[in-house]
Amino acid sequence: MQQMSDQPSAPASAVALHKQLEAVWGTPPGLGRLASVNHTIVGRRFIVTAFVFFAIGGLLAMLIRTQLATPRSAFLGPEIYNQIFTMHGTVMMFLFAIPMFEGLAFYLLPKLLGARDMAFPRMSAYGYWCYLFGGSILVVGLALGVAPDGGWFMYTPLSSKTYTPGINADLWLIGVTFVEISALSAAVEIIVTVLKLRAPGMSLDKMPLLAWYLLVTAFMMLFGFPPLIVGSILLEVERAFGLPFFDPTRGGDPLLWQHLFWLFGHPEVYIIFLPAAGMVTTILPVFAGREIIGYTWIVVSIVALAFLSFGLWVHHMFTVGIPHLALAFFSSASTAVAVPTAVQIFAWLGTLAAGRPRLTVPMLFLLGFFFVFVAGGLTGVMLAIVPFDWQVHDTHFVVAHLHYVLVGGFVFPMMAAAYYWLPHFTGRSTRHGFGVTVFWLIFAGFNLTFLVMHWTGLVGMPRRVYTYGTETGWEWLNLISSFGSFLMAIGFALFAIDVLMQWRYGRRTRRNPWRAETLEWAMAVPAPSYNFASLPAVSSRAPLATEPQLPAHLAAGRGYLPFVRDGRMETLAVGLVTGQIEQVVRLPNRTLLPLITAIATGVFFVSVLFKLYVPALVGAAATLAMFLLWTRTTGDLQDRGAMPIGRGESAAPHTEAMAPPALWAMALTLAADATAFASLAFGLVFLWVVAPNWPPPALLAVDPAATVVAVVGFVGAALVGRISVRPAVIAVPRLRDRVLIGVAAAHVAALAGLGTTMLEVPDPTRHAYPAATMMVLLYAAFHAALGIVFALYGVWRSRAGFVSPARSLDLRIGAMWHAATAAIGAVSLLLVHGLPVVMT
Amino acid sequence: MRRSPAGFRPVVVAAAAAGLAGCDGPLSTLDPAGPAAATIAGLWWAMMSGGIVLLTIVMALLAWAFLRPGAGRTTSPRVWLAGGGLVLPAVVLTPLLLAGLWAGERLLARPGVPGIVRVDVTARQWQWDFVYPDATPAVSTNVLHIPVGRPVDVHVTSADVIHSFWVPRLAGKIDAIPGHVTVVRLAADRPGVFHGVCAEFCGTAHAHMGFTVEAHAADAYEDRLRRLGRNTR
Amino acid sequence: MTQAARITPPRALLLLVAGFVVWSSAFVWLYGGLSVGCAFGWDRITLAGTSALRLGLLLIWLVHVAALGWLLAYSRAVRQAGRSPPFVTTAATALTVVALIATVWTGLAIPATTLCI
Ligand code: HEM
Ligand SMILES: [Cu+2]
Ligand SMILES: [Cu+2]
Repeated sequence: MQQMSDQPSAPASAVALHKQLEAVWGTPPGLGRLASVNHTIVGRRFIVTAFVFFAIGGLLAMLIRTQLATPRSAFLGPEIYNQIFTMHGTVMMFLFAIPMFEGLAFYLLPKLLGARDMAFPRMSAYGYWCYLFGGSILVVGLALGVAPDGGWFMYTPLSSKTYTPGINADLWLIGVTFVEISALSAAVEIIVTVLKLRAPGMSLDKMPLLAWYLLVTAFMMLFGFPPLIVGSILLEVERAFGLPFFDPTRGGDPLLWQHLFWLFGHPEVYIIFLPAAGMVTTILPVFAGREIIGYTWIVVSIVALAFLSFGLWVHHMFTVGIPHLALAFFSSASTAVAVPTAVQIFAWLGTLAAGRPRLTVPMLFLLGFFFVFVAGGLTGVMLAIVPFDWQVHDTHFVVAHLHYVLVGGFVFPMMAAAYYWLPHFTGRSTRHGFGVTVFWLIFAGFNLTFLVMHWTGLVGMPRRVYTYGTETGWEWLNLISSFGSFLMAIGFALFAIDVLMQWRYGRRTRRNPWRAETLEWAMAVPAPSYNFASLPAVSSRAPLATEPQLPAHLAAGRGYLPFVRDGRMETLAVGLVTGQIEQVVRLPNRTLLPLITAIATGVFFVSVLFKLYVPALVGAAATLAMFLLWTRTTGDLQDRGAMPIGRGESAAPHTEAMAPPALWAMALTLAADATAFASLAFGLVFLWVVAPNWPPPALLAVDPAATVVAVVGFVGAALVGRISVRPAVIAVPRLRDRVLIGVAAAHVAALAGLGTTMLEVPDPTRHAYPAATMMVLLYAAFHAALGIVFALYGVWRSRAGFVSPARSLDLRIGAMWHAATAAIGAVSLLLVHGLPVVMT
Repeated sequence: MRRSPAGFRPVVVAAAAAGLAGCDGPLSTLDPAGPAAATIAGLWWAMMSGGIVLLTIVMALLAWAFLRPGAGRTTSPRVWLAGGGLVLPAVVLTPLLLAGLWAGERLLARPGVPGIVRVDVTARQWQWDFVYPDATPAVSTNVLHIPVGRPVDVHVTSADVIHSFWVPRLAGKIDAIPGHVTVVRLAADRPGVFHGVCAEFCGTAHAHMGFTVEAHAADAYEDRLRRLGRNTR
Repeated sequence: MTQAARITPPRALLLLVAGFVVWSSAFVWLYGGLSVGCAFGWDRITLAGTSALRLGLLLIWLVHVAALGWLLAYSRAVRQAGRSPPFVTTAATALTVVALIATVWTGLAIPATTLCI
């Protein structure tokens, strides 16, 4: 039997410590790698996969440019061309940009923050598999010639069943939603990691700015993605079951789709830009040879930017006939975002001017970023001016603008990041020469392609046309664009070769080759699986400048947690603002469960794609069961109290903490959930107010009995749920089990009430009113059903010995769900029964 | 448009592009033939000039940082952050936003203007049907007739998917959305034929969904509508 | 107001974003109010020499500006009393100022532009 020792001591030598840590944190080679949950490995996987998708998207771009190089080209027909530009946009936005940033975040965050892994390593792995499978669905569709062909924003009714009867649109909806799961889980994980898993002493104001950028970005994802997911579900339900949310002939409205899509779509472009800006803020000071100016200014700017970016979405809809005052609101918000962006640009400029900049390869790409991104930002401000947008909206001017901001604001910084962190990934130093050629090819090619494209748009070329005539006067402009794009493609190909060569044949680098000051360079490169042999105590924003000996000290075990306790994987969590030590977080070990769960989820999505609803239900149930299985190795069977963490200090295990990471994760998940519900509620209200062919032919009658039962059920679940976390109740095992059963019973009542109401809803395929009403009720019912699972899960955990007054996490998480369910249930009933009264 | 054989040397090509492209062309927003398009073209030229100036300033500062290393050492960070980040955008954006809103107000299809002509348009995959309510039963397909010099309110809807009605030399575009009627006001300064396209992606023949607008002098216009009415009868 | 009480973590973060939460509320109410108002024809009701809809929107706007004014005073008081780490209170005050300016900026067009066309 293994001996429980709560008094571990640091091993005698750095090598012994390394061996001990590697034994628990390392991932074995071969098939065992499928079980890896380590952030370095998962991060690398995301990055490599995203780069492969970038290559696919780039290839599609080359096909586009080949077709458009000459007028009346016979290279591609419209059916194929439509698939190609749709997939180009979709791949670049969903399968390249977002996952690339997620990968970098996973790889870098714990290292920057002085932690050993992300907060939920198994979720990272699960997210990766979801991304890979969802992306593969789309690419397989392309290979089979049935890829989505309605444009990357999939406007209805073109993407509805009537006008796209094939599987094309379903592939988009299913594939993208599958990938979004990984985006949402990454968002939760990034937030919790930044807020909690920092090095001791790293208070909010000592956090590296990149962590701020990633934190803000993750919050934007949390609120930005739910509208798209809801929209996609509604459209898939319309396509599969005929519920007419977007069909104007039956009370739906195509504009609802546009609102839901752009509520996501606009923040999305800032979600892509902000992490890249964070990398600029990290890399630029290193080569300027001085600290960045305006730390607080930058933090304030990015928070402001995050909010403002949610007030811009209608600038994609300036031509749909919205009142001028409404356009004015969005026009002013769209110009206002330029301000926080300008603050950042000038912070970078001021830093360069006050330092002594070195013209390295990463710096070269940053210079390219400056030119291209500032130009793109300027055309962005122009597009925010309503009348100008009326002319150039949906033309190649917009295509040029969006590539200036996306390539300038994301690809160029990523190239800088690649050359900057390459030694960290590979342990090899980079060479100067080749990178310069790569830069000039890409920079020249890019501007040749897209600078003239502004003009192409101004002289009238709409986007998404597969051909044009000679009378238009667009021939030369297009030929130049195509020529430039091939130059750029050569540049990217050389980049791939350069990276491969350096990875294979580069000279070994010393630690910290750029003389950077952030913690990710305080470790050996390539990074060991556990990052730090012992965790640093941080006292400034530039730990390696304040304490040049830090890497050696950490390796020698003079930091926190310089040992392996009972074969567990441990890292520290701190107070959110202060950075004071708070908990010892135990992380889960490698396991195949994330992969298996993702396969189960894949069964669900693929079955829905082929309209096989029984296998779909099986897939969903299996996914849920797998997630429950995950918890078997989390939690603790005994109260431990404070445990030593080295340097003479001690901290409680997370299982006994007030606010462990999992509790934060639940709160954040509920925030995303509330956003999704708000999007759905917005849809219902929007249809009532704006959609054609209202009021509906028949209204839902109020059934007093069913309503009362549902209300009692919801209120009961919330109240009894609260009782279940009272210390006095938790202390008595029999009592707490009974209370939890009571919670489950309350959810059953709520379900019964809702179910009866749903049966009374008029035929939902006849009109958008019953359709949307049904979806709102279903949303609440889904929550009640999961509420039963949460309550019974509590009983299971309690019986298995995971619960005590000190270890109440599982029950507290449950109580949060019950409360949220009650709130959603109450608002649903209010909307469903109240709107008809108010509106008729 | 002039054509000249240009080699594939980037510089030559870029220079040629500037010279060759010009501003004319049957669909050019920069060759306006009506007040709305002219107003917007004016906005563009102003914004383009301002944009070039701003881009030049930023690039000059960047070059300065590299060519005179450390020269900005004594400048207080506040000068950069408040000056470049707040004052500069405020000075640029305030007049720009106001100009944009003012121009937008002038272009709206506001009722009560004398002499308005109304046309009803239905877009469908892939054609444009025009109805002239002032001269029923006149209808036409893919050719719109308007009188010169009078404001024309085009009421647009769609019979299937979303399209977008756009005559770049006359005015901005407006989407044709099933279930909704949207309005754009345009006018032509001179008689002539102006080309229009569908600007919103609408399926396989999106690229071929063009139409023309024929602007006639007053008499010719009346005459034309009468003939259209006879044809449909 | 309890002078000495420190503002603790989650609330400290809330203070950081409170200003922009008010801005978001202003935005939603203005845009939502305008859409509902146009759907119900409130722009055609005349009240005090202008349309009822415009008055309503002005009211929404001013209420939010006032709320931000109050929030600004509050976050400055928190800062002066040192009830939270200086970085948090400085950033919170700055963000409130920015949100106030953004709210004024967003509503600038209300008195002037056409309502429902
Ligand atoms: C590698 C060089 C690239 C080239 C040559 C290129 C070229 C193009 C072209 C010509 C179009 C217009 C297609 C049309 O309207 O018919 C287009 C659309 C688009 N591109 Fe790219 N692109 C490149 C990289 C990227 C990147 C890096 C991103 C995003 C991160 C991106 C995102 C998009 C999007 C979202 C669209 C709109 C697709 C749609 O209309 O549905 N592109 N691209
Ligand atoms: Cu069309
Ligand atoms: Cu079209």
